[in-house]
Amino acid sequence: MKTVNEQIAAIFADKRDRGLVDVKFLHKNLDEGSYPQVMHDFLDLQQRIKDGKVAEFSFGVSTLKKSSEVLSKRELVTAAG
Amino acid sequence: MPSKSTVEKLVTALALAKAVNHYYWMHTEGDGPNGVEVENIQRIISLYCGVSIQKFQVEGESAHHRSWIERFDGGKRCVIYVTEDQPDDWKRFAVVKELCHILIDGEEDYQPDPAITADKVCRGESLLDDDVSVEKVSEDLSELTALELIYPIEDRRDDRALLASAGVSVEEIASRRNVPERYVYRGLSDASYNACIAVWRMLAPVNPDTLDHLL
Repeated sequence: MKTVNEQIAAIFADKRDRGLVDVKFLHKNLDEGSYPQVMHDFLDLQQRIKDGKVAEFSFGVSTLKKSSEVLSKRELVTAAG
Repeated sequence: MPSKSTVEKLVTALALAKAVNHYYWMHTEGDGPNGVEVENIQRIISLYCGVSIQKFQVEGESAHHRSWIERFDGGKRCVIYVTEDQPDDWKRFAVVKELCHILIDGEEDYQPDPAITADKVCRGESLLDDDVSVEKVSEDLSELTALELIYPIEDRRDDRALLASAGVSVEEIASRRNVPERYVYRGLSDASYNACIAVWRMLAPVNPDTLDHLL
């Protein structure tokens, strides 16, 4: 039976083979000594992704434009006095 | 005292935040109905850094993880994951924080082993420690940079004036800005606000002025 860290190491060795160079987190409920629970939780999340319990996500639509095509809201506010 | 490299990284991170904020207003419609528009920030960072970015939400609860980013192909392809069981303001901040890793991290900050990064952030290190790890510096600077993008100094200036003159609470401001209360408190504090103003005044104008050459 592999430990949690060994299971995560195997997952990320596979990801490194597919070009992974970096992983960063934003945690919650952290305190000294929470490392084992953090890793256990992370393994659970990786398993959920593997099981397809994941969906592409966005907050809305972006509005990228050439600078000549957009008068920024700040300029509009300034122009309005 | 923090190491010189930490201070340099902090100033560089704020300069990059200033650039993104400038391009956000120059090349997008800026804020949306829910406050700072995260999708517009993402598009600017994607364009500015030459990186493709996908975001995914993971179903269910997580006791310890709000979000994480996995970077592939030398950092040119990024995948951000955010956990489902948190309020919208936290999802927004979490995603912007991960976007800031794309913006501010150099290759020397890359750490492909999640066990090492998790271990470092669980140790209680401080950004101001002499021997602070690169992993902790990267995490803290991305959080500071995210605050500058999702609750920019102009908004904080307005909100500090509101707090001083009207019967408005920090909680009400947080709700209106769609920013977690923790970061509104931090952003409005004298220490954070005055330090940001001081650095902002030192920073050169954004160069180049537009991203038209990349569009």
